[in-house]
Amino acid sequence: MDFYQVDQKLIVGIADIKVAKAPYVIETNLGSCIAVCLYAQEEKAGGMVHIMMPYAEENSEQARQKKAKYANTAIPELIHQMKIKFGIDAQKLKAKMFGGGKILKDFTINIGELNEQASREALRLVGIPILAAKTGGEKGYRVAFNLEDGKVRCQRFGDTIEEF
Amino acid sequence: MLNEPRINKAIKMVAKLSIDKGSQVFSKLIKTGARIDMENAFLGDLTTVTEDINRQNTSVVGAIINLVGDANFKFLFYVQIEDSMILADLMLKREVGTTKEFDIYASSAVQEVGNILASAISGVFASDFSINLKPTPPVVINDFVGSLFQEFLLSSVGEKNEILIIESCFHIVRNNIHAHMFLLPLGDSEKVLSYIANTM
Amino acid sequence: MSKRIVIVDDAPIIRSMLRDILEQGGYEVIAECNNGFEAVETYRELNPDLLTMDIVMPEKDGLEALHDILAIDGNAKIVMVTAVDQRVSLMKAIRAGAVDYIIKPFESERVLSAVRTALGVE
Repeated sequence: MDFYQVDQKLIVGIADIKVAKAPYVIETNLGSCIAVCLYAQEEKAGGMVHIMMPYAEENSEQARQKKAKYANTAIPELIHQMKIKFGIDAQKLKAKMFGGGKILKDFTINIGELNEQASREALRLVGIPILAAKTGGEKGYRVAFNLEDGKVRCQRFGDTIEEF
Repeated sequence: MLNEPRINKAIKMVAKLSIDKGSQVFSKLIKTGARIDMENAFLGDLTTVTEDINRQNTSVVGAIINLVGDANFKFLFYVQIEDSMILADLMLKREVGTTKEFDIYASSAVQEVGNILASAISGVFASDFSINLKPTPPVVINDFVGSLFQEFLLSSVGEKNEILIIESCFHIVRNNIHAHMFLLPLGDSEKVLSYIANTM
Repeated sequence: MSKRIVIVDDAPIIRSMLRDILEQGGYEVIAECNNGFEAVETYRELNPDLLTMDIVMPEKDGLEALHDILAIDGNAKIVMVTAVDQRVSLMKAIRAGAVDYIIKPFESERVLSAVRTALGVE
């Protein structure tokens, strides 16, 4: 299996959200960050958010500046963008999540794990089910989210590509 | 404050001196002509900068070093994995192509080049601006470039959304190695850059 | 009999470069150490004629290891190895009792001359 060779590709940076419809593929790289992919099967529409930190205080200046940076503000923002751009309600969305590795071994806080927990909690609060996840480990990830079928190809560095 | 013209001038000055010094020690280390060019010294948005890095999609080996003391900076040096093997051959005075797999020598070639370049930069701060910095032992990471760069930013960006990036690219003439070097001032280092700007 | 040397550096490539230079210079490299802890232990065990000691290393750095080894044997001969422009650390090491120093990146001749000086052979 290989990554998708397509022209219609969107790249996601840190604290970034991209939403689109088929035939787009949305890609990113992850270290301790978490990528949450939301997909609406019928509309072949989806979005990816690249979360860097677990929490921001609600209505804080940080959260206002970059909602996509913090799990608790990023996931509501991604849902909001799916609604604004495509008119899709949260009930139609299913989630997959990736990343959250512990790359820097000397770092005492496992930020990847905290990001994962906070992302799961944020999805639980809005009632979006998580269909698949590959998280943790000591290496980075490359993920590619295909909006044609909602499948995500994910490769942890040094491993083979898997499809979720 | 970081986007003031005088701070910008200080950044360019530090970058130029660091790169000149870096070129000298790097050429000496690998016993062949190397040129380091400054690609960029700019204040960028966290998302835009990392989107560009993620687009590259290569596998790299990098050394992350903290420069601590009168100011605090974070330093990153990385090359593509194949180039780390060439660096190892050059440093061990072997014929280029001898190292065929990524091994401890290729990994420690990057570790050591990072160490020597970071020390050269701290030397520039000490000799030209009387600012003492001490490099910490390098942390070597072999990963996707986007993943490595995220970890480089992680502990330094914190609540900030704008990052100051000083990026340079290395050209080793005969072997066509492309290496990258980034310097990231942390929190109070902006004051140091302001001080440098005032001394110029 | 050739003089017995221990190389202390956290970078395998630098250990390899130093080993090549020292062996070509007629010295016997009896051990390589990855950090200051190993250096102190190895000194106790092997009592080498000389150590080359990197300064910046994880866990226990070269300056701490220098102090500990000189506390065991005040006559230990230690040559510090460090990257360019770490003058402050280098001066600390010299004041603490290191006999000479080598600046990375190094030339073979400079390594051998530092070792000869440290061993008292001109």
